[in-house]
Amino acid sequence: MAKTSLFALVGLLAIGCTEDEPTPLPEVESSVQYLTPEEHLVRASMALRGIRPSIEELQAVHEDPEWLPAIVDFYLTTPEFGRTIREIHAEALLIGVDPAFFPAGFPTVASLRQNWGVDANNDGIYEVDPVANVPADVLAAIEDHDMMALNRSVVDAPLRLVEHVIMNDEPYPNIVLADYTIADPAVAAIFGVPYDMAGEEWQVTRYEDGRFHAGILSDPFIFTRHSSTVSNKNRGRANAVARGLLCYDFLDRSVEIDTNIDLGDEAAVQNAISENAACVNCHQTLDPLAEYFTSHFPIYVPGMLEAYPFAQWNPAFAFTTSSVDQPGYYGTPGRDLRDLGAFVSADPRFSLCAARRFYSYLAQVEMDDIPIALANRFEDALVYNYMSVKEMVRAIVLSDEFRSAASTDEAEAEGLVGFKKVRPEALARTVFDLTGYEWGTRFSQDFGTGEIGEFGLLEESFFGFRVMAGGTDSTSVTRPTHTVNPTSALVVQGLAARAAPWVVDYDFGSDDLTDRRLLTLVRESDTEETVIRPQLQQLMLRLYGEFVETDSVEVDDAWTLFSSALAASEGDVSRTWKVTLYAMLQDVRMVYY
Amino acid sequence: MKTTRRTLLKAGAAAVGCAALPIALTAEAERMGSRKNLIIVMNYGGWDPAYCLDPKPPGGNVDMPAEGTIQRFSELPILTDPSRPAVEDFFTVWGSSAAVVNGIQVRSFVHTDCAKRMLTGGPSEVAPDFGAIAAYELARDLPVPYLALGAYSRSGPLGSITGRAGTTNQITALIDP
Repeated sequence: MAKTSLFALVGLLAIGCTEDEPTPLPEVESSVQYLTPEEHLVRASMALRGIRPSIEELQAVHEDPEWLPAIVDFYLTTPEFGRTIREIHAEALLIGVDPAFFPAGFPTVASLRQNWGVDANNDGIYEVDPVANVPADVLAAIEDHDMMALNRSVVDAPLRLVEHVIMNDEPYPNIVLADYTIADPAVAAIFGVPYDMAGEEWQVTRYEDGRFHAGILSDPFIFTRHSSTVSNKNRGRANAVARGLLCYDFLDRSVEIDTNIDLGDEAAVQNAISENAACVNCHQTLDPLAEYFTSHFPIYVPGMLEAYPFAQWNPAFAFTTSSVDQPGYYGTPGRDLRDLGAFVSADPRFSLCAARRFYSYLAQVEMDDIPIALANRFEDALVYNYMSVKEMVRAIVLSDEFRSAASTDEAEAEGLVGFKKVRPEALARTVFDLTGYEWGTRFSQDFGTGEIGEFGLLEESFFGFRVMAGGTDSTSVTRPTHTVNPTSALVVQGLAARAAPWVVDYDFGSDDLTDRRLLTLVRESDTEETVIRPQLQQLMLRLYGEFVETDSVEVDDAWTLFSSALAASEGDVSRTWKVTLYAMLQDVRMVYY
Repeated sequence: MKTTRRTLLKAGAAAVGCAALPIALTAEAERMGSRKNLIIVMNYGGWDPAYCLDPKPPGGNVDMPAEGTIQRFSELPILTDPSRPAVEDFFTVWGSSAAVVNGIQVRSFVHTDCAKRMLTGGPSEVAPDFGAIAAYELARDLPVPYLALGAYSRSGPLGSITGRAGTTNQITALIDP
């Protein structure tokens, strides 16, 4: 009997409904197959945190699946979930750009001083100092920042605001309503927002340049990434906001453009967008929406700035980028960004878009492929829980749809994503969590804006492997790849090749087995099968979340690998484990969940 | 052919297999040998058109070089000058079969936006470029239908069919670490 029918029957019996019983719905045999509770836990952990569940969590669910919701609740409080929140919104708003280059690429303090400062006596005291207006304590905190460190903060700032809202369980609309911003010393120095060095690194603060606070709508970097021009008049910005927050893309509209308009004639274009029916179709709503953003600096190249703080906000910019008399939201007039935030948050498309966006990201289903009834269900979980994203996300990861694995029905299988592929950032976190290895590098090159500096290779695309591993860069590649391709396979192989020796050297460097990361049951002198098999069994659990016996096929295979490697290594146990873990860390079960 | 999620998964699996089995890859390449390749070269930047391809009458509102003679090559007006001999050399040989496009309206002067519109045909931030579309439509059964060697390609939502060498050719670090 299908589960829903069973619940319906139990419900009817419970209320003693024996008269006028409605005709029961015909039973429909579901062809969907679901993950086991342990597999479900792995999927939830990877989707929410980007790391594997602990052995203790796996054992708890193995013994009693009812533990799963409580563990998910815990996951929703972790910093890793906060990181996932940032990654979801970086993808949604297309702002997860490579930090060191345009549209980011703010110069380091040292570079500004070198290019624009005057130190006449060469004594470190600048007679002309491009950062003279940055408070001394804030400046001291970022003086040594390289390009990556400085710009990661700038790119991250709007995402930190979203993370702050969700992790503190504020209503989700606060991402466009909050009367504050979030800044660290780098953001404070570059954009001139007050900062208390005695407070938390990322702290709540407010601009004093006259801008209206409306959550991320007031953020300087979003509207640096989404720039505008005299002719564009903030329309690109308006569309970026509509696409990111309402899942409404003006460019998806089916419009027959009038080819008789002379696009080279600015006056003809201006006339057409108010008079020509084909143009008015979009511009009557797009242009008033764009008008909200006229006070954000239209376009600049951060790498060409000459001083900090930079005045990114100024109502005078409207002189060149205004296109209509008054801002408006799909026909309703407004005044400033606070109105826009109120309009967006009250728009039914906002909550529905959030439901689609989160389910799409977590379940790796394209947004257009999500059935509206399913999206509505998750939207309800948001709306009827005081707009709590955590409640909605909880509903998503505990849903049958999220834990579905396969279907025996051909048509149903077509729309079912039975395997989720690890994203590059999550792969980096997973391997770091398991082994302690962080795949990063340091570039000392300076392209005129300061030393590039340190960065994680799976979190950056220009020099690193983020896009090659299936991720996005918010400019050239805007959708992630949820299948393995040659370059992503090479990335996994390359990471395993480095992480395996790292963790073996670390683990065998400690005699205290409790201080180890993966090899917690063996010593470097152990080679006996009866000792190795339990360790392999535990690795299956830790790496893949699989409960297997020591004489299982899975452990047999791993033992065959280990013993072959031992023979080839002439008794070198450390090398043998490095070979074994090199293989295990690039297993398909590390890539899919 | 309609591409489904599962055929893409199979393509992904095939890609992994090919990476691990060069012999199989070679055989596949031989089988596909009759296919044509589409190579797109993105020349970012270029000549000032007024110096060569789009000469303007003297005394107008457009700054023109002081030197030069307008020559016609198969009715194409080209500004030539001994200081830029390659121009005359080129059109002497190829003028009869050349076409000059003196500009495409891209509605912006922002370099990145203009490049985006030239590559994708539109203003969208999420649209794929011509190469990605061609690869998806014509060759998505290949292990790497679209190989992006440079920094300017835009695969947008078609990342799954794109193999990237990396903006700074990082692939060499992965292949030969």
